[in-house]
Amino acid sequence: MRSRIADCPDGDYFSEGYIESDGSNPEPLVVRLKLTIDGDSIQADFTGTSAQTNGPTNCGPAMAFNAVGTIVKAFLDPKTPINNGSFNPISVTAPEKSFINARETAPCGGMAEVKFLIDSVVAAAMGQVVPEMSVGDLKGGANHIHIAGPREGGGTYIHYEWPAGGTGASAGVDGSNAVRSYNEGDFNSIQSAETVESQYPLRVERCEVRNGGCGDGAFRGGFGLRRDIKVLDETAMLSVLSEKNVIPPYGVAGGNNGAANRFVVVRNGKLIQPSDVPGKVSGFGLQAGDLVREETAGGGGFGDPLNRDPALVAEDVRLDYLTAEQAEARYGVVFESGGGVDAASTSARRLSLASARVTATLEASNEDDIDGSRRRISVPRAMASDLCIVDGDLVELRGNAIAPLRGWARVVDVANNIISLGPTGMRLLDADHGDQLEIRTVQTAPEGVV
Amino acid sequence: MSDNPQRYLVGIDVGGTFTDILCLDIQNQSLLSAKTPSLPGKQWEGVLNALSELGISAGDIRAFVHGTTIATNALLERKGAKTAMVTTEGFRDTLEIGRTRRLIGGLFDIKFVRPKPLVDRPLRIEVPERTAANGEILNEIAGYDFEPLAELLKDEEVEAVAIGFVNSYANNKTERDASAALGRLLDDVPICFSTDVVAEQGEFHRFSTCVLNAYLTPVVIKYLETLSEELNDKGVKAPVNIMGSNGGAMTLPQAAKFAAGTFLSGPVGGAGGAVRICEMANVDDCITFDMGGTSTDVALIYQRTPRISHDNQIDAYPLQVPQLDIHTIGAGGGSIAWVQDDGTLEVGPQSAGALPGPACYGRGGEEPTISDANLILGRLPTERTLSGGLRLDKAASEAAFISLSKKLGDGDIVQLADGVLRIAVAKMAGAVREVSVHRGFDPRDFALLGFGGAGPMHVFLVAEELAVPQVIVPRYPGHLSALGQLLADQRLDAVRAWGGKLSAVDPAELRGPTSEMKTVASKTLLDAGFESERQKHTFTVDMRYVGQSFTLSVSLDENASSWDSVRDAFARRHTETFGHADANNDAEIVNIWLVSLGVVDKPTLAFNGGDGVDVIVEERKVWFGDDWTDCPIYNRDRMETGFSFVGPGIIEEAGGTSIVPPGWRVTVLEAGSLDCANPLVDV
Repeated sequence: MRSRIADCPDGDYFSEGYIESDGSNPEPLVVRLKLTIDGDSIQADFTGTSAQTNGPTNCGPAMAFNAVGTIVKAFLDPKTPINNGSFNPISVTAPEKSFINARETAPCGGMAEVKFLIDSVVAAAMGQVVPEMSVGDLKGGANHIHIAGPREGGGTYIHYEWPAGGTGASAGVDGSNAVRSYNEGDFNSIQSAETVESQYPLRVERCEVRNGGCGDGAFRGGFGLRRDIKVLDETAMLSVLSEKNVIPPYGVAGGNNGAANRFVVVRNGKLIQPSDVPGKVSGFGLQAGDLVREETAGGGGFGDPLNRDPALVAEDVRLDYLTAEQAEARYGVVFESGGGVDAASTSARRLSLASARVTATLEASNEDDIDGSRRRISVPRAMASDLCIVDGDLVELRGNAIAPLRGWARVVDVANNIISLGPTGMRLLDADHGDQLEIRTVQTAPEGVV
Repeated sequence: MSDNPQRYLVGIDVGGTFTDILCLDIQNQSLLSAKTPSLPGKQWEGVLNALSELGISAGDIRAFVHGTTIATNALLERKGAKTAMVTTEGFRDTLEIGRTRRLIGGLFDIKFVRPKPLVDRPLRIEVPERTAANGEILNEIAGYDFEPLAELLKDEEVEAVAIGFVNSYANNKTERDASAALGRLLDDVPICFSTDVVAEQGEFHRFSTCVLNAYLTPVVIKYLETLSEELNDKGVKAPVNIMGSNGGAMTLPQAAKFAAGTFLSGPVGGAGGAVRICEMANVDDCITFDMGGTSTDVALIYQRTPRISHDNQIDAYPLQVPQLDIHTIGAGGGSIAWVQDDGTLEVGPQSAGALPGPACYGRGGEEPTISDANLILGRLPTERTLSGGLRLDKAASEAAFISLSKKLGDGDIVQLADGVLRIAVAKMAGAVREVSVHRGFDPRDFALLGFGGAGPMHVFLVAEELAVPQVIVPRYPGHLSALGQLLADQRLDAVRAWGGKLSAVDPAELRGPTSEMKTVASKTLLDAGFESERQKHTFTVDMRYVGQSFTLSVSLDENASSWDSVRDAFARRHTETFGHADANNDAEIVNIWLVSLGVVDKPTLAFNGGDGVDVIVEERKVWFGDDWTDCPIYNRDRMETGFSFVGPGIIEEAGGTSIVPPGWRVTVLEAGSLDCANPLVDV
C-alpha cells in the first residue's frame, strides 16, 4: 500500500457531499474532505463537516476510517489480500460530535447512509489522485424498505429489503445493473418474490431493470432496479430510510448523473409521494391494492456521453435499456429506419447537442457562498432561463476536477455570464479565474425517464 | 478356458490434462489402463484414442461409464445453445438481477463487470400468466396464442427454450401447459420448464438452473450422439452411461434431458472410487485428495457416504441440483508458478496442461510448474523413464526456475522450488479445510485419501499441514476416478416442494406425493434395466423450525404413522449442526427428496501383491523439509501384502508416485492400498 501511495502525486485534494436530510429537518448535512497525499501516507481530514443531528443519520467513530480505507484500497491496491499493514498508511481526522463521528444520544440507525456518503466523497477525491480509476457515484445509503402489517393469527409481519442500484462507470467499463457495488459485501439485497409471497400478504408484480435510469457517459453507469410490490391486505404501512432521492449519484470526467432513488406508492393508478422529504418515510398508511414502487438509482457515468461509441448505444437500445428517443436526446445517436446507426445524422446531432450546452466564465471571489450547510452558486438570470431553473434548484459545474461541483442556484440579476466562486469552490473544481466551464441542472431522472 | 464375452467394465475419465481409461477384467480380476492427452474441443476423440490404446476387443465390453467435462467446458467457453426464456410478466430480468449479488468476487474492484446472463434480454419473453404462492392460478396460460412467440423463436434460430414461471413450485400447471403448447409449435428445439429440473421455492435459483439445463442440453446431446455413434462404429455394443454430478451413473437419454446434472461428471468418479477403497481399508471417514495436472478436487466422505450439496453455483450462475460436495482449486501438477503485481509468488490457476506441459516434459513448455519444482527437489526421477515412456528433463526445469528466480531478484532455485511447493500445499490444505472445517468437521478425525496423477506426491505434505493422522494411497492411484465410474450405481434425485407444520399436517398425507415420486423413479430405473429388486429408494425431507429460512435434511420413513421419529431426527440434526434444539418450537417440512439407486454388481477388488523381491530400485537425494536426505525408491508392483517401511521413501508405480516424508510408517494392505501413519500425530 505504501508503495502505491508513494506513486501518487503529493498534494491536497478536496471534495464534498451531502446527506439530503436527517429525516426531520429539511436542511442537508455536509461532509467536507481534504485528502492529503504525503509521500507514502494519506491523511483524510473531515474538518468542516456538519454537527451531529437529532435524526438517524449519524455514525460512530469507526465509519469514517472504514470509508477511507475501503475506497483507498479499491483505488490503489484492490487485488492483494488485506493484512495488518494495509491500512497503516492511512490516518483520518473526523471532528468529534460531527455526524460522521457522533457521540452519545445521537441516533445512528442511518449509519449506512452516512458511510456510503463518506465513500462517495472519498471516491471523488481519489478520482482526482488516480483519474484512470475514477468511477461514477452510487446509490448511496442502504435503501431500507419496510412494509409491515398485522399477521394473520396475531402479531406483526415486517417485510424488509434494501434494494441495490446500478454501479458507476469507469474508464473503459460500463457500470453493471442492480448489483452490489465494489465498496460493499456481496449480500442479497432483495428477497425472492416467491419467499415474499409465501410469507406475507404481498405480491411482487414486477422486479426488473429500471430502463433509462443510467448515468450517461462515454461509459455509462449501470441501471438501477424497479420493483413493484402489491399490498393484498386492508392495512399495512410503509417506512423508508434512503438517500440520494434529491441529490442523485454524480457522474465523473464529464459523465452525467444517474437517476436518483425513488420510493413511491401507486394508488388507483396515481403516483403518491408518501412523505414530504423524499426517501424518508415513517409509517405511511397503505391500502389493499396499493403498489409500493421501488426504483433505485443508476450509477454515475464516466466521460462525455457524446463520445460514447454509437455501437454501444445501439446495443443498449437493442437490449431495451434505452429507447431510440433517449439515445438521440442523451447520446445524439440517430438511427436509420432499419435500425442501424445513421452516422451522418449522429455527427450532426452530437454537434448541435454540444453547442446547446451552457457555459460560464469563472471568477474568483474572496468568499464562498455558504447558506447553512448548502453551497450556493450564483447564476445570472439569463443563464438560469437558458437552464430552465429557478432559485434554489440544484446545479453543477464541471471544472478540471473529476467530479462536478454541486450547489443550489442563487439567481442573480447581472447581465453577464460570469459565475463567481470562493476559494473552496475553486479548489473543489480545480479551476482558475477566467476558466470557461459548463454549468447544468441536476435532474433526479435523466431525460425521457418518467 | 472359454472367454467370457462380456468380461470388461470400462471407465473413462476425462480430465483437464489427461484422459484416463481403466478396464476391469472381471474374468481374471485384473486391471488394464491407458492415459492419453485430453483433446480440448474434441473430447470424444480423446476417449476413442484412449480406448484403442487399451487394445481390448470392443465387443467384450459389458458396461461403459464415462466422466465428461463437456458441460463445464461449454459453459466456461460460453459455447452453449442460443437459448430463449419464457417467463411471467414482470420477471424477464430475474436472470440478470438475481438477488443483486455479484456472485463472483468483485469486492474493491471498481472495474467489476457482472457476467451476462445466458439468455439475451430480447429473448427473455414475458407471457400473461400468474400463479399465487398457494398454488391458485390467477391467470391461466391455456388458451394463450403461442404462435407469434414460436415464430419469433424460429426467426431468431433459437436452439433451446427454458420456461420459468413464478410460484410454479407450488403449482406447475401453467409451466406444463406452456411447455406443451410450445412443444407443438417448435420441432426439434429442446424445451425444459423449471419445475421439471428443480421444484424448489426461489425463482432466481430455479430459473437459473433451468436455463443452464436448456443452454447445455443441445451441446450434451450432440456430444453423446457423436460419442455413441463412434463407439458403435468401433463395435462397442454396451450401453454408454455418463456420470452425474450426484455421484451416480445416468443413461444417455437421462443425460440428454438433464445436462445440468453433469457438471461434476468428471470429478465425482473419484469420490465413488474412494468409498470402495474405504470399505476395503476398513475406514469410515475420509477426505479425498484428487490432484491431476490442472486442478485438485477434494470431497468429504462421512460414514462411507459422500456429502451432497444442493445449493451450487457454476461460474456466476446458481445451480440448484444435488451434487457431490466437491471443492475444486486450480492447483495441479501443471500449475504455473508466477510473480504477482505486488511482487509475491503465486501458483496457478493457470496450467501448462498436457501440451506443452511442464518444462520438464521437454515439449516446449517454458513456464515453471509444480512438477518442475518436484523434479528440482529430487522428488521425481531424472535417470529413468516414467511409465508412459516420458523421460523428464531436469535442465529444462532448472531453466524455468532460474527465469522465475530472476523476477524475484535472484536466489537459490532449490529454495524457490520448495517455496512453490509450500504455496501449493497451503492452497490444497485450504481446500481440505473448506470441505471439513467450514462444514463443521475436524479434518484430524479423517483419513486423507491421495489419488490422481499428482495426489500421492503431495498428500503427505497436506496431511502434515493439517495434522491428519492417516493417509491412504489406493492401488492404481492415477485411475481411481475411472475405477469409481465403472463401479457407480445409477442414481436419480427427485424433489417436490411439499409440507407444512408438523402440528398441522397428518403423516398419512405423505402417501400421495411419496408414492407418486417413487412410481416415476421406479419406471425410469426399470427403463434403464433395473428390476425392482435392484432398486433402492430413500426419502428425506428438508425441515426447519417455523420462522427459520435455512433447512436441514432429515431421513423420512414414508409409511410412518406419526411425526415422532422425524421430529426427533430433526432435533438431533439441529443439535449437531447448530449446537442446540428447541423442543417447544413447531417444525415444518419444506421439501421431500427421493434418492433412487439402480444397484450394479460390484466385483471385489483384490489386487495381488508383488513377490517382495528387489523392492528398492534405487536410492537418491531428495529434499525433505529444509535439507537433502538419502531416500530409497520403492517399486510398488514388487511390494508384498503386509510389507512395511518407515519413510523417507518414494514409491513408484504406473500412474502415480507416492512421496513419503521421514518418519511415516507405510504398510501394504490386503487390497493393495498403502496405509500410512503420520508420525507427528498421536492417534
